[in-house]
Amino acid sequence: MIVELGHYALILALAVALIQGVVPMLGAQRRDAAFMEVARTGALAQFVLIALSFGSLMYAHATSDFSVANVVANSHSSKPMLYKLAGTWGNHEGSMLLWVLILAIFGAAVAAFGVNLPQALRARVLAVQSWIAIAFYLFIIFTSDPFTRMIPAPLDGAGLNPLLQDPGLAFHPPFLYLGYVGFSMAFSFAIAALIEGRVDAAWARWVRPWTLAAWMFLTVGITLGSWWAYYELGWGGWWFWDPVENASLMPWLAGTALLHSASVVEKRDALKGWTIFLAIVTFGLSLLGTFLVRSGVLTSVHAFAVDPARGIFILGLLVVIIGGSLALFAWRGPALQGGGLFQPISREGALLLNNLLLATAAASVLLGTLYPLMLEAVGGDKVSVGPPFFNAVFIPLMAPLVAAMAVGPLLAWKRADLAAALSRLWLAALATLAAILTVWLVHGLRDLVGIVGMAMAAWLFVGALSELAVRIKLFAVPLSESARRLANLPRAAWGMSLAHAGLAVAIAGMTGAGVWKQESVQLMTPGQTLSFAGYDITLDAVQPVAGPNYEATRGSFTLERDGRKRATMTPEKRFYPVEGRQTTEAAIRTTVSGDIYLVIGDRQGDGGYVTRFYFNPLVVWIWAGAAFMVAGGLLSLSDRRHRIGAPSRKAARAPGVTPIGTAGART
Amino acid sequence: MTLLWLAVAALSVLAVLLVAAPLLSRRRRSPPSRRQLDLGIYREQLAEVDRDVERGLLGENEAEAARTEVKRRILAAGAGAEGTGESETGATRPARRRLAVGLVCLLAPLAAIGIYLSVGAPGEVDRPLAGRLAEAGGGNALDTMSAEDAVRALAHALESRPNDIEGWALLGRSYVGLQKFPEAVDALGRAHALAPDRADIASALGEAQVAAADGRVTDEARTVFAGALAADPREPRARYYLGLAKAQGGDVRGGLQDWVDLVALSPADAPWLTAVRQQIARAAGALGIDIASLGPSPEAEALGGAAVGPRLGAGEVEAAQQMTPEDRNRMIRSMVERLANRLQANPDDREGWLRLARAYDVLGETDKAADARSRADALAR
Repeated sequence: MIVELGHYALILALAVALIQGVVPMLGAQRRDAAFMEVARTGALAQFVLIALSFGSLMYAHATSDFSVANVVANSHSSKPMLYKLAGTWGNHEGSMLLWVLILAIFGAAVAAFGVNLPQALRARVLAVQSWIAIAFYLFIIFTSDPFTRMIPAPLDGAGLNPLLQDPGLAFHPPFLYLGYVGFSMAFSFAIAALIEGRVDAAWARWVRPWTLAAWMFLTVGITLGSWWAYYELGWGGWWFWDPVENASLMPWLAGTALLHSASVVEKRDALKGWTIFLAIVTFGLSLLGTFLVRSGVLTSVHAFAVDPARGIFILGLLVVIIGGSLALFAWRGPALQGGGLFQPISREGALLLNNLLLATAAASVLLGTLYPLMLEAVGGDKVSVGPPFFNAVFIPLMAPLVAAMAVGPLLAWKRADLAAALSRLWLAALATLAAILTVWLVHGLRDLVGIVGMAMAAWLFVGALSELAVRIKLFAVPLSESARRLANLPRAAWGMSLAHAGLAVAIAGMTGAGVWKQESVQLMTPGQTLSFAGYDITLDAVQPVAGPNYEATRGSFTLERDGRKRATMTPEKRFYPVEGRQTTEAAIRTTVSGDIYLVIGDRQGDGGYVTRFYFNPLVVWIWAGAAFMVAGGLLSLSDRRHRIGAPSRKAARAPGVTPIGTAGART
Repeated sequence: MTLLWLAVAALSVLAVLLVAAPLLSRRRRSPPSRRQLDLGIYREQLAEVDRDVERGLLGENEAEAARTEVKRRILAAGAGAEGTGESETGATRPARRRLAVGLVCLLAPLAAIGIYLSVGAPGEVDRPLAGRLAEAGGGNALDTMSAEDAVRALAHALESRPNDIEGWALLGRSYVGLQKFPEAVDALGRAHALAPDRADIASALGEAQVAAADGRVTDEARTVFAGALAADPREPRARYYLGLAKAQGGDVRGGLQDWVDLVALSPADAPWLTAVRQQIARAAGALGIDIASLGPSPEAEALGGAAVGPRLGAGEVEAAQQMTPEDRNRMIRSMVERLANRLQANPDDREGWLRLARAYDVLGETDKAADARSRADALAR
């Protein structure tokens, strides 16, 4: 009964969404408060219903109810409980249900915490949000129903792909979806603003926290995905420019641009049309990501054509949502009044440059991702666009972006003095020079990419710190005064510095792991010792081990350096009998300077084993940098100005008194 | 089922009440107007400028410019609100409101129930595995008691119907279920004698003989299994026990090959696969053979086992049988592509490359087949 009730709750949510999509819109048009309030109650009701629905699917997975086809296809009674639960969203149908659950969570959050939003704007935003929900409910109910029953129920399930049995992956899709779906908020705000015909500084301030939250979730999601690929897939790499990865990178790039342009709308009332456009594009790219991953079009255009119902539906959705919103933008956009003017050399100008570069980067990733699909669709060969293309396009775009990133925060709004700003970056320039020389001396000139990468990282990192130093007038005033200023900095300023410095750390990590990676593949017999990346690695033994639902070959390696034992490492090659699949479990020893990454492969005829060694320098810096960026986002989100944005209830009664923010003039 | 409908009704009522609450309630707080909210934000922006000046983040000139700008926005917000005639939100006329309430309360649940009836399965209860196992355990005990009576009755009835093939086979299987193997061998022997071409009966007889001999595959049983396999080359038990016979006779490699063939010839969801795979793993371990290097024998391939890449699941096989030749080709192609993609990701799989090469041979793509073969050869070196 729980399963069937969950199914019904999902359908009832569709009915509620239909009401929520129409009634508040009418109310906002006719200034009817009661009608507008339906937006809030509807959003809360949708959340309750979808939570119930998702919970019942999770219950079916947790109790191994094999009368549910989704459980049969994706679960197995011998799986550990964590993966039974993760199996709820580790498949197509369940993940779409998670998608709408997150959509409902965001809707309910606006309903519950959006008390400072103008009623009409809130009604329209939630109505638009509901239109998106309607489309996805229809998609789930009619093409990807997770509640389809299988009677008679088989005795056991077909199991989850063993690769997906990893905590990193269990939590990676939810974060990715929180990001994707979070951008639907920015989209709904943009559409509501177009319908309303006004975009102003106040609007930008309301949009920003939602965009920031979505951006943070997406950052976490992408990082977890990359982390998972690195630790679980056993290829020794962390980013492959794989279409699935690109699908999440594109909205991230566009979302980052949106985050910055929204601050121009907030501070200067400029770039309104562009910001609306970016909000539409960002969500469009999120939908495209969902489409690419979910329709099967990536595996093969032909496989997609064999079972087209789902793909066609999402494709149609994509066309309607993106086409419709862009048409609306073309119609209503020109009516938006332009705001503040600014010189090219100014904070606005720097943010615009950032936007252009990020948008170009997103467009080039889009091209590289879709080109093979289109070629295949029109009957061409199956080609793959890989790292050479992306590296060739991405690095030249990122270099000026990073160069401008250190300068931008030092520029004043409206009109700025570039020379003065640059003169404050002398320390960053020195650090950059030092980085270039160091890399040159250690590695020579052949690793040009390495030199550029490390120079960028040094410039940005020291630049971000210099900006903080300038703001607190370090050494220009007594230290105690500087400390006071530091403590008084708005959290948003801290957030920006932290995020920029985090990107610098991540760039250093990406450069190190990308350029100076060492790799060796060889046949080893137990007892043999090899020198690799400054270590002596001995294969001590290889023995079979039995896991809870797999059998494995485990190699024991001893890692020595300068005659001293540093670690014992045990990579495995696992065989999952139920699924009949093999997976590789790499053994990884992480240090600040780099990871030693060992993989054991098949036994060869003469008793030797294929082993692969990797040394990946600075990998851990990538994750650390991403963590800094997310922490920066969190700090910025906790800035008081996002909590105020509007009068509290008390102030609403007495409009003359407004709480005073302590926030600074920073993004 | 009644419980489900009660729950459905309760859920519907709750959802509708929640959604329609604003339409039902008479009293309403008037929320702050857009203008108030906008002004709040702008005032706070002014305060922010002051703060920044105080902290030394903004020069006095810049601050003055920023203030002027914000004040201009304040003026615009005031003018905008008046210009568009934005007033306090209005109330609904009773008639329209009644209509709205009616629509929400009736249409939403009705539409939902309508859709649910067409896509849902209201009669189905939850079947958590733990509950099913408990049920099955309890049921078995009951069955055993009545089964002994039933078997006695069946044996009695068969005395007057000595030519009833199904009857003897059923009696034999029942004896196996009761662990009475000598009796089972007798009864299945009668059935086998009546229908020597029935591979299933022959296999059941052989299995009972093996069980009666405490797991040893006797010569007698081997003859019976060989007959079963001759009658139906896909008979799984016969192939399994013939392999076991070889292994017991010292030819573990031969037995291993039979089991690998069995796996190749079995549907992907066959219940015996797990046991057979474990047997293969054990045998391969004992022989020091890498499982990945094992493949079906030519004989099994001729029967259609694992001809192409990743083996078809039962559903796919069924689907393939109902397809037109073009569709089938396309499906095979997509599977081959899947294999090819997997190999791109995991290029050390020599057996995989060989399989891919064979698949391309089947599809007539000799160039690609040669290519895949050369990859496999490269790995062999």
